[in-house]
Amino acid sequence: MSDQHRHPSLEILGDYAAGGLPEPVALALAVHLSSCSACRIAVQRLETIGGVVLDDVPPAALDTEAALDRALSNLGDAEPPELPSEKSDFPNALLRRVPGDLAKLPWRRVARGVAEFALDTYEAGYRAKLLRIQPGASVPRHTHRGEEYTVVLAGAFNDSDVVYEKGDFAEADPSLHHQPIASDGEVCYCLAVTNAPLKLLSPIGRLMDPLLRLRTQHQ
Amino acid sequence: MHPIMGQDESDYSAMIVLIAEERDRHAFATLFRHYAPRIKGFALKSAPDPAMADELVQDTMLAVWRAAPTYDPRRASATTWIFTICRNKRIDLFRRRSRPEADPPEEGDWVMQATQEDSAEIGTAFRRTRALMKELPTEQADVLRMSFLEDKPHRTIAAETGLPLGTVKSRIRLALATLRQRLEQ
Repeated sequence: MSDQHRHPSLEILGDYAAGGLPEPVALALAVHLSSCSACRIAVQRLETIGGVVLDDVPPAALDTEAALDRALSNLGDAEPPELPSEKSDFPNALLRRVPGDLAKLPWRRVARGVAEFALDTYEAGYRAKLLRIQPGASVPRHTHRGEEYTVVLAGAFNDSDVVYEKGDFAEADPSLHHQPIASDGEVCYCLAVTNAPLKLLSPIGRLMDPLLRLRTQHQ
Repeated sequence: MHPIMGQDESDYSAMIVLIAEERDRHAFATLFRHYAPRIKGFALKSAPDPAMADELVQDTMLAVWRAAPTYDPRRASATTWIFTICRNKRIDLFRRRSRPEADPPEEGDWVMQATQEDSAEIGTAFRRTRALMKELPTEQADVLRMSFLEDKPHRTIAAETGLPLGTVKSRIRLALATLRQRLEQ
């Protein structure tokens, strides 16, 4: 399941199970897992590897009884698990990161029908942003200097004849040249995480691309 | 319940259930004596800081006590569940950021029900995973273990082992693909 379009690769699932996935990518994945039981089960199975690793790790020297006494004395303070908050259109992992109602965010227009809102990220080199694409509008044709992970929050978009709907996960890398187009009928909201700037491919796009523009001036 | 020698995964699962249902401190003590030195060993693999490692032991075991009611022995073995708590607490402690988590599945989610395994099957899956990991080529098994042991991205593993990043990624990918394929057989 996970190697197909619309689902994260096995590598991403494995890195999430291991705990090493960079936080913004883990956020995109958590959004996907909130609505994809198949990938959630795949992660549970991969976590068994972690169980085996923990079981095999050489036990470290520890004053077990003193540590146990300390833990026992704190059990009373250990509050019950947090109950999931009330049902929302969006997964809790995302709600914790978005300051309020999507419609009221200070969106920044980036192209006709396309606006973005940058989220704070806690991982050097990564950017996470929300995209709002009006029905039928398209992101300018582009490719990537690094990786891009996109998860659909609402609506749908079409990319190279694959339709990505709510909860679907897309991975892109420098080998992909694409121009995602929002489906008709509903505004499409996505979370997109990148670890390098995009590279715009159209002539106008190239003029807008500061890095390339700089290069042109030097010629 | 008295601690006995030679307990296996299902005994530890039963103790987590006892904690959940009866807030049983003896069961907690038994789990603690078994897991605390392993959690500390696990922590020392990602950062050689004994004080941090002791904190991770406390944070993880208190979370085990607190979260025991959410443990489902049909979904995960005791050690796998404790690994996930330990992994998350390590992210909290070392990166000072909490890990983004998926929402819990809806009641009556058909896929979750269809794959609901019993605790005996979970124990079998745990032993099979261990056996299959031993069959992996050493070069694959080593980087796979590192990716779970050390809370580090693949590029850090590449820097530490002196392997090209692409090699680290492809070894992990091959190892995961082999495990998945054989576990499904």
